[in-house]
Amino acid sequence: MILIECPNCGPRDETEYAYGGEAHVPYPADPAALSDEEWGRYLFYRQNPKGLFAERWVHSAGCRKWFNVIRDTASYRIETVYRLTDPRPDLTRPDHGVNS
Amino acid sequence: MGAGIDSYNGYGQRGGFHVIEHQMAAAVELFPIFARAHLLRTWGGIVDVTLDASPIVSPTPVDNLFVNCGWGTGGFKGTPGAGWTFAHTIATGAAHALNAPFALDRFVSGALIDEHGAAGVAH
Repeated sequence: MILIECPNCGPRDETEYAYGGEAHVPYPADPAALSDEEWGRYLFYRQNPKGLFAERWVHSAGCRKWFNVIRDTASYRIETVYRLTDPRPDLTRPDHGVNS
Repeated sequence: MGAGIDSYNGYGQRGGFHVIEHQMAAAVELFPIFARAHLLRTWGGIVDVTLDASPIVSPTPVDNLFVNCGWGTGGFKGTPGAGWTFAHTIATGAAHALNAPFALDRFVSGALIDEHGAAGVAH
């Protein structure tokens, strides 16, 4: 059971949340211009690092707001939590996880 | 007895307690005597799950590289058929009619197999 600190509600059990996968996957600026390969890559291809990973969670049973978490996918330790409007924190470990 | 998977990416090889509890609650509800059962073995591992909850049995863009993966939602029952069609794929270089829909390129064509919500397996 992971304890996740919602930016709005504070620390709550994992069961109050739903998972949203990798964070910082921007919607294409001009979707109609994409080839099928590029669209498929946007829809389905994601990073799957063993280590730090920036990911989205939503506090379904609380404020129902989405936010981002940087979590270690091996230890499940949560490094930081930040709002969607915040820039991605620089954890000075650029070799791990989060893609550009 | 097999429990569900964690909702998030993980290499921890340990099940979330609420997932285990959910599994045991269902087992005990069905067979109350299981509450007195002794635990002999447990397993927590990594399951490979694709975005349409279906396996990939397919050639790849790399010559002589074939993949048979993504069975994380319940693969062992499909192993005889998967092995047979995978052998055909390796021997001929092209998918058998039975595993053609399970090709890697379905993530480009959009011809997905079972979307998560429609799959006939427990998620």
